[in-house]
Amino acid sequence: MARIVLTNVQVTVGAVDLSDHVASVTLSTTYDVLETTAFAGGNVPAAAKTRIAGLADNSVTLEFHQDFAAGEVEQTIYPLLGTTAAVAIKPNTSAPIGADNPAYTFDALISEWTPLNGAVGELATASVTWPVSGAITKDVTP
Amino acid sequence: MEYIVTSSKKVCGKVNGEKLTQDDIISVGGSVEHLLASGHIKKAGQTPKAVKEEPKEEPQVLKDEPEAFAFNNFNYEQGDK
Repeated sequence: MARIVLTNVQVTVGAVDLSDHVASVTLSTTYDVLETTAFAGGNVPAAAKTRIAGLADNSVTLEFHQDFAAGEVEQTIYPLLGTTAAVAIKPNTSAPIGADNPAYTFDALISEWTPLNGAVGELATASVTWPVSGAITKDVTP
Repeated sequence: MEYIVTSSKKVCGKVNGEKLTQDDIISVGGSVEHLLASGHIKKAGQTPKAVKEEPKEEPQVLKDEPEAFAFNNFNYEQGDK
């Protein structure tokens, strides 16, 4: 299996492909860890902690290049603030969906937005972390 | 209902000028209202809004004593109270 260099990730928010204004993407999943350690109850004494997984907690972090032009980033994201929007991420835009190019889809809560961020001479960017509402669906079906 | 992509971005995988349906949008979790409001799509068959210049109408001049009529009407309403 080849290592991949991210050059052509597809990011769509609310069905709009914003890939050409996204500089980085992080999709993460963590599970609550629930400890289940108990006394052995007469058998072998407990020697180590035991644990099970609780609920999954997913989030996506994106770094946008801000753009106020018609139909661009600001006009797409700003109206979605405070709502959930469908987000789809695929490692390679031009390659078909498959085991080596899975598509991740989920509903993200558009909980934050930074319309303007940057110092003099810098590129205006917006880095956001949106919690995922519900599960992430991984599609590997071509 | 059919829509046409007006955005420079791909919408539901369609590029500017291509048609898509409400089902296409809903199937990927999109919102028709959001896409219309943010200018990514428009209703098919809808022409772009042109700025129409309304024909200038000449101000109507009431020949039958307009000021007197308004005055009388005002007085009539006042009198009712």
